[in-house]
Amino acid sequence: MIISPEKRDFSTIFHVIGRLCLGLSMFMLLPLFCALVFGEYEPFYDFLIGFLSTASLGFVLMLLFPFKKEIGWQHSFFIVSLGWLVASVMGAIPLYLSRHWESFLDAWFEAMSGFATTGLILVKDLDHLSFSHNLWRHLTMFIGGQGIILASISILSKVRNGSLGLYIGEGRQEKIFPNIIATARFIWKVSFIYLTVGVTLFTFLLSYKGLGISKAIVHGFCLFFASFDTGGFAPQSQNIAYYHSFSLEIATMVFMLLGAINFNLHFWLWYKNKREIFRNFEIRTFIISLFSLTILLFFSLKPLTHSVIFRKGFYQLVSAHTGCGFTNLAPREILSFAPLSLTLLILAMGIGGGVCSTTGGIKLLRLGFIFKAMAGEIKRAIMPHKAVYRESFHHLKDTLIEEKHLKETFVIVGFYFLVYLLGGLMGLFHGYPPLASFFESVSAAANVGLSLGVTNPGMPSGLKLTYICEMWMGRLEFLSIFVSLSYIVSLFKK
Amino acid sequence: MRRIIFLIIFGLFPLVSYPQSLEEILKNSQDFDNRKIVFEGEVIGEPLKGEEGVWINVKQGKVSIGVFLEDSEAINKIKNYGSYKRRGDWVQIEGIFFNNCPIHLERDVHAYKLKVIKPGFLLREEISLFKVKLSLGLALLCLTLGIICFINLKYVRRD
Repeated sequence: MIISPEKRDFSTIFHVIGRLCLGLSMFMLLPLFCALVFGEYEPFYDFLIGFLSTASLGFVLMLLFPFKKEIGWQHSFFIVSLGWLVASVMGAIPLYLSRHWESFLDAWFEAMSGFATTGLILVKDLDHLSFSHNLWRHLTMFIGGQGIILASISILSKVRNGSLGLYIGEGRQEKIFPNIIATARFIWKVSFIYLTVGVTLFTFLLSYKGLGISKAIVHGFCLFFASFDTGGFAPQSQNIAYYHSFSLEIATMVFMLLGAINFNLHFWLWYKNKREIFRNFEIRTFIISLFSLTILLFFSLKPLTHSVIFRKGFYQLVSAHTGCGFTNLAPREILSFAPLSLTLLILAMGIGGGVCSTTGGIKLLRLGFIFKAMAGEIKRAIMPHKAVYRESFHHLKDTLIEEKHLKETFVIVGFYFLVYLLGGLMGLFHGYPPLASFFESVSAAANVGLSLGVTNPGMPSGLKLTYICEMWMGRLEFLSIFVSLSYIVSLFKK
Repeated sequence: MRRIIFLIIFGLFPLVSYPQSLEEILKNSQDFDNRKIVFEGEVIGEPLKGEEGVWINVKQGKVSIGVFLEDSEAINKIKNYGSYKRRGDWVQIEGIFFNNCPIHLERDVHAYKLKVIKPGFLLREEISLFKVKLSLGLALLCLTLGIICFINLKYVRRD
């Protein structure tokens, strides 16, 4: 029997979405203030309209739909799925008004790409975009990276009772503290500490390169948001290549790696046991995976010198594996890689980083489980018939791999493969070459943002919508969306 | 007479450098690797310090490339760098294109000649009246809704 939502349930859902809109409108005040500071008057009106329309929608939803029921699991999934859609649509308003996006669909694509920390772009003439619009593009990554709903539940009192469902619904499997509010606040605290360190470092490096101090600060914020939240947007069209700075590339790599680490592990390293980094199953899986892919990439790019391979190949690999999407190459340069190199990048993108991090993809823990399960089956086959053998792993504590772990892993991995495949087939259907189609599809669904040039303002609208769906589904790890869809189906069966 | 004109035009042809399309150069990067190129484009951003030189970024249409100038003084010719408020100077660059530069380990152009073809200019912001009116309308709506919501919440609490 499927539990079908009632009218009262929808009232609660839309009420919370209304509060979410109010929260989002508050974030729009930051670029609004930036526009004032830099004397960007037209963008000021873009953000004023964005702020007022988002806040108005919030008030309307709160007035029309009173909070009638405590938030339960079914509400959580609806709120998360719908919340991300509404946030991306409202977040697209100031972008669209700037006229740097050809249509509202393009602006929505960019906003979803930002919130989902993907980094695929459809902006035109990025080099002439205002500071405030650039700040908003990058801020969406910070909001989305922390979790739009998570950002709200840490400040909204009424939502606290159902916070666990909302937290899980946003694609996070682990709590850091027993209390979700405390978990949300810890994630914010970690992010703000890294924000201070990151922005200071980036500002120093950029001002050393010759950027004026105010521009260096804005770019510093943008680069931090895009690297730590594994987003991949950059303020200039050449992405990281614009700066011609090896030290900046190394700094972005460090923050990409920090962003790809499980927030739970950050907590352990800060407060509990620093040695956890050497024992952690996810970190070990990451090292093995990155090392193997690096060796293979090295051979696939062999005609190039070692230093060029490091700058051009390894940077893209780290960017792909951490789900960031920063690049120091033009799409055509990545396209000129050998098919094996591109396949390796697709693999790295598909895997992603740690669970409870800002990365997308199937995640390291699940990859580790799959290999453990495979090794376990082989061991079991060569052991005596009556021997009992069970695989274990160390992730913060020693845990036995149980049936439920494997079942959940294979279901989620199966969903990811299905979405990667369907997105790739859509690319093929629109006439793009197979490798480019699958590269772009994996990049969108795993929330990476590396592109071979398929993603551009001229691509078919059908493909834009496909990638929007992939980014949305990939970020929320399917559960919330599929549960919401089945509830909607159950309404029609009533 | 015709023969003289023909000789003047085509005789001098190899001596004159004609700008090439940057998109074509990047599309056929292997063919242009380590070769002299001439191209035009808008200077964007700002000059960036490099080791023993300075970097500028030049954009032509949808593509851009980093240009390295050993002569740091050469950038003094550039007065406008493209940004939100400014259209950058349109420059002509003559230099060597490297697909994988052995010094900088990236795709770049080592320029030995920079000429400003067309100076950039300040871009005027035109604030749309529609946006101003819409902002005012939305401000009124938002304020009204906010007040109703506030009263409603207070009323619900008293209940």
